[in-house]
Amino acid sequence: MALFNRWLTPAEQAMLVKDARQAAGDKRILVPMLIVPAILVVVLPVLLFVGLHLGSEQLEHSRAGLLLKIAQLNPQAGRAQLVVEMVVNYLYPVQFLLVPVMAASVMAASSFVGEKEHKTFESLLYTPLTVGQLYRAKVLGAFVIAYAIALASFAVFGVVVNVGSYLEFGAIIFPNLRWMLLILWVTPAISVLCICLMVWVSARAQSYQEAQQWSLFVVLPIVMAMVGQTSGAVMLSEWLLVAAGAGLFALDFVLLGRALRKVRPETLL
Amino acid sequence: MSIEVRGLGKSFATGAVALQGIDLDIAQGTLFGLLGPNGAGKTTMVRVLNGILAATTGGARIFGRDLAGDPAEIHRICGVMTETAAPYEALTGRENLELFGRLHGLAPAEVAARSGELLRVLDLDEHRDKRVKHYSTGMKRRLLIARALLHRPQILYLDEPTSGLDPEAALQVNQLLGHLARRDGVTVVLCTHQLKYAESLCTHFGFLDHGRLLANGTLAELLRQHQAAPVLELRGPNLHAHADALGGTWQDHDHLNVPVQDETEVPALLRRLLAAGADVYEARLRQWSLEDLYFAVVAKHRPAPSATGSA
Repeated sequence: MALFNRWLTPAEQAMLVKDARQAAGDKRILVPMLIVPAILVVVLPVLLFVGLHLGSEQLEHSRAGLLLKIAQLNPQAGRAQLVVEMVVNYLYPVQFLLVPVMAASVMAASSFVGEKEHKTFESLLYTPLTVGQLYRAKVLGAFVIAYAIALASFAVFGVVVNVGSYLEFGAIIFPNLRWMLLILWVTPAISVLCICLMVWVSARAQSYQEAQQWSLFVVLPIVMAMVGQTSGAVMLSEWLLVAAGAGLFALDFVLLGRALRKVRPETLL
Repeated sequence: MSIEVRGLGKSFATGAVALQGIDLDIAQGTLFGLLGPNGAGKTTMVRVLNGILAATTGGARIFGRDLAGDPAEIHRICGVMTETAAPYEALTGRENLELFGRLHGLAPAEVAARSGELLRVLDLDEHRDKRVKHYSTGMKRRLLIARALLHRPQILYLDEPTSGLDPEAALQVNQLLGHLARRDGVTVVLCTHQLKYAESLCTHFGFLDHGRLLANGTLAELLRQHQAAPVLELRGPNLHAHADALGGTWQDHDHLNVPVQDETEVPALLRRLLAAGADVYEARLRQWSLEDLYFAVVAKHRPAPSATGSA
């Protein structure tokens, strides 16, 4: 709270709280923000462990190349542990990024384009908040909510994975350094990138749905990364995550600075 | 002077010219009616005077502060209610006012007290905890008025504030605006195309048409500026013989309109007419209404439709 007080004026905080309450009260915003993480961090991992328990070998056959590389890195691990490690530490991290991407896109679309769609942006422009302050409050508000959802998803995923792995082969495997880098370094960076994109879209889109279609442009590279990872063409490593996060933060810095410099009240009407 | 506008113009990237060469002074405590049809430029003018849109030419000063300087400072002293600045439908009336109170920098206790007071005055107290999406049009409009008044502005811009209100609520709002101007010295700029409504409430008027301010002043000043003399309306069976001598024009087949300088001219004119043998069944002095004047001024400034353009 003290950090908030230092960063944001009471007026900016009021704006942030309003955005959060509005999101919580709107099914159109709330449903995708809860359903996607629920599927990604609960349903799919549970299915993985159920499949392993029932002796399914489909995953092993379809990802044989990747599994072989992981087995070389960890020769002592048994079959179930290798499969779980492949899914949790190699396939899932990229997939997990869909949670902050989706949450940040939905929040930012609601926060920026939703205001425009409902003709409420003009109401804000008549207050003593500058456009820069409005943007700051809205970007931070969308970020805080998106990141909170990502952190909660991370925690739930950890519980599901650890319970499953403990029951399957008696070990706690989550989180490792790779996941910590993902949640503390890459997730904030990619969340801000999605918000920047929505800020850019907000000047062009007239409706929330239209803005949501634009968010596909962020999802697409993640899907491509997932395909690369699944095929074993790209091996996810700590260094790759550090580099990806740094690249994304640099891009965020440029895009946010540019958005704040270029924003004019006229573009928000 | 609360508002000084000099050579103000606004055009858009599309090439559309919304305002051109506006010069206007509005003194503190004036109830100013900015009149014009839809699309005349009223909302654009409010947006420019609040720094939401940047002027293309000229500028304005609000209580001596340059509009181009610090818009946030302008927003502290102005309150705005327009159809294009909606309330948050998902929040309750009270929550809307609390949010905007905070955004205007008011302390929470002050926001609560002021919101309560305005919700009572505008008869929204029993609906304060209802979500705005369940409000009627009139209730939303009253909430927007409350929102515009929340931070005790010195200038209030209102776009059709009583449209959609029942007569009782409209009267309440009009009384409130009158009090604000007369008792508290608030300058009220009322944007409307309802001329009779403006005439009943405002003391000064500006006629805006196609982005140009055609005229402005009090009704008396405007009548003088446009030489809008009162008209003596006469009815009688044998007035045709006297019409030319009186300089009158026929309103219809039995009503003759005779222009006069003022009412003191009427007794002598009637005596002359009766002495000349005219029978006068009815004589009525008709002053120009704001509506008469508005249409006369607009007609004078609008170009006549071209012959080639008509089918």
